[in-house]
Amino acid sequence: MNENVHNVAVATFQEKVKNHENAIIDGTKVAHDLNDFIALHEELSGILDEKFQLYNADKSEKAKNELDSFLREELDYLDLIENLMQTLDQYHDVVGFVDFAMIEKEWADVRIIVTYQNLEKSLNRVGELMKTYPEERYSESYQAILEKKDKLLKQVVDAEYNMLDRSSMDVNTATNDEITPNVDWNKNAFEKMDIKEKIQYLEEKMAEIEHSRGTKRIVCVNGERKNIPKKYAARYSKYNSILNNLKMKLAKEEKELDDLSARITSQVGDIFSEQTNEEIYSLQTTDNGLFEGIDVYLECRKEMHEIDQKMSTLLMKAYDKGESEVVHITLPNGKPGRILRSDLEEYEKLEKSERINHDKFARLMYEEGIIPDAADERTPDEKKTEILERIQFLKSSGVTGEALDSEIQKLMNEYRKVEKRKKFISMAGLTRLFMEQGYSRDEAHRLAFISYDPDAFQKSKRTSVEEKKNIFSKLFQSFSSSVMHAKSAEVGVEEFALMCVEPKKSPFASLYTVGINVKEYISKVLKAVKSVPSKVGNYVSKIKKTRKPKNRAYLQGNVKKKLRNVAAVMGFTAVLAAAVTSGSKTNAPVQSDVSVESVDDNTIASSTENVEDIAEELGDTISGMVNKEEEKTDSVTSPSLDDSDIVLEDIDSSLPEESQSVYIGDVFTTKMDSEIYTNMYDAAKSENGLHAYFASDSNREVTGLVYDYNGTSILLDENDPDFEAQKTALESNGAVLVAVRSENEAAKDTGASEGYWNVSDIVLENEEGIQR
Amino acid sequence: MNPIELYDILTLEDDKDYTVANMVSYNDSEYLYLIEVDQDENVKEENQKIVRRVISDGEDSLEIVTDKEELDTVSKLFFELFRDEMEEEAISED
Repeated sequence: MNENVHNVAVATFQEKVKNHENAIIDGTKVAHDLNDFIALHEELSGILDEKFQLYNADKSEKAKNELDSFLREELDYLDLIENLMQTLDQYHDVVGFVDFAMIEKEWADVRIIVTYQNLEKSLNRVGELMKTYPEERYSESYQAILEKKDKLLKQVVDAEYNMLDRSSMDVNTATNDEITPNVDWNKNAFEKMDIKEKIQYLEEKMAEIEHSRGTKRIVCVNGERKNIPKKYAARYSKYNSILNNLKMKLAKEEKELDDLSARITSQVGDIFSEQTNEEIYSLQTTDNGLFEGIDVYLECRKEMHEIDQKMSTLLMKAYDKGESEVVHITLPNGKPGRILRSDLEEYEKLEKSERINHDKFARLMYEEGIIPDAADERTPDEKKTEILERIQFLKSSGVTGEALDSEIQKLMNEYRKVEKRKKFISMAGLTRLFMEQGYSRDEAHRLAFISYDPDAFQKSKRTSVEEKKNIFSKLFQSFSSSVMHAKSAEVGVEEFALMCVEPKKSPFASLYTVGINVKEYISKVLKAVKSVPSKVGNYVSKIKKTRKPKNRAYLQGNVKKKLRNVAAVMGFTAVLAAAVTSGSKTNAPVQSDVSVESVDDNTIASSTENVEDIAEELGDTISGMVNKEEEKTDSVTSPSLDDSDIVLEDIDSSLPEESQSVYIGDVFTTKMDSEIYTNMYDAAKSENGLHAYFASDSNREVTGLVYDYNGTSILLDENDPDFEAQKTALESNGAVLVAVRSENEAAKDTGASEGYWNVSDIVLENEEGIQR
Repeated sequence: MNPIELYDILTLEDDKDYTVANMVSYNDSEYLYLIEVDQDENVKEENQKIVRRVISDGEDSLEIVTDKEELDTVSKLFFELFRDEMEEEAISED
């Protein structure tokens, strides 16, 4: 239950809904037959009526919104149970007779769905508690709830499918002028889909519903309110619920595969070397067997390509020559061809040389374990996923013993081969790309290695920041020019990358994966480049539009206020402090924004000494400009946050300028339209308040005082043993009374606190009832 | 280049609006101190930039200053500008 509720009717309603929910979860309320079902449905209608009464008691929109925020969980539950009950009711109407066993089954589905939703709520609550209290018991219960929820996931998906099935039995009530969208759920087709297709299918169905016409009602999905045709509202909620569960299921499966992949990778070890990346970068790349293999590979590829071209030229020469001059031959691809008699000898030599190269190439491929299967169109990543899924299946099949171990070992070797093939081909492709851009072989090797795992290079402690910047800059330019070239040639990035590393017409191994990977590399490298302290490259943005401000004076004031903070942080505080202490500007108005007296000598010294550092910080902020991703930069206005800096923050102008004399036990009323706050922090500001349940002229008693001390809110409670001492200490140190906690006379017997009021909203009364 | 005045609102390619909080000239280039503003022209102080005005593809553009030395120098110029303005303001209000 919401602890901040101070309205008795609301609290009672919350209690009732909670009890209803618990009774369904623990099985106290069960529908065994149609009578039970009707009774439960009536009970629900009763609670829903109470909900409307509660809302109608205060008709203002704001009050309703407040109720919504108090009763969010309860309303979610009522919406859910109402949808489920209506679906079943409608199903019973259409089917005519539902046997008791079926009603029990239906009810079991309802309980699973409600329990699941309840676990989700509990999880969120404990999650919030964990943030505030990082104690073990919370993390333990969080884990326990999570496990329960995971166990229930399959059941809840099934239950929701069943419910959806039943909801599809509705009668079409659309009028002729309404467009009836294709929102019906095709169960047979749906069941054959894989999880990703199901997600896409549901998303499409939901989009169709959203765009269909008809009388609308508000449906709350994932915390967002949507206007959905009334007729499809229940179904829309169900689609959404299934969609969310499928997404969770997918995320879980993907995580399991990732974990398995990580475990296997750690078991098979690094494909090429057991050395860490850092060590590898410091090695001469030519010493590494990997690159020797890549060199042979590229050399073979190059030679074969050249031979291929020469052979084609010879064949072309015989194209329009007479039969007397040509000899008929069989081409390497098995088709008939013709060649000039005079060129036959040279052609045969080339053919032999090509065969030798091909064998050398094939041997290398075999030794490296990267022979591509021409008939296999799956990418290495797809193959890896298949292997992982097979391993998972074997592990969950219940088979144990040597047979299982041997099968898993076999699959792991296969996985290793695929991984190796992927890495080798990618590295070779990248090496070729860099060499074609004019880099030496050694440099191309190194860049290829870094491109493969830029994050590791970025973290390397053996390389200076300058060197990293230099390398990333080169990579960035290489990839950027590849992309630009691809653009100008009007081909896709993948296609272009593929052409860089392997001409498409080549009859040999397809390196398509490299094409795909290059795109990933670009984003990886860009990400790594961004995380290097001082950015590389100059980014330019065109000015799309220039206009005059709507209210120049307002904007100017606003900017100046912010810039004062910048200047203060940068060291101007020192100048200002000097001016103030000299006596000439004791009452400088700047003081309202910058509390000069509170800036200690250290701050001044460090501020003036660190202009260089601040300029560097500015640089960090600036370079985020045209980077496409939004990133939180260190703002120039928010450097270190030690105590002395806090005073540089604005003290909210809405706070009272001087403390009022308010004491515990004082009685007060409130100004018209004043708002009450559920916590003391909000009460210090005049936003996000709520309408109080009791009228503004009802008598309230002060039970606590809230002070603002350098931006921190402190509550002095009437029961604090050293109340007076604390009050005196706070006030003598400049703390400002900003809010009071109250108890309403009308609810005094409950002993509950009503809430917090901004001190500017209260009207104190003396003992005679005269306003002070 | 079109003239840009103090507090003009510029819409850049990231589709955000920035106000010109200050301008300085250095080494024959014009530098702007930009602060992002929202639709109601409230200042969003978490997004501030120092940029150089350039012509790119024949269009008026802004380039982020990434050279450390240049950035340090321009930052100091802006800092001095802020300081002078604040001093003047404090004196005039005294």
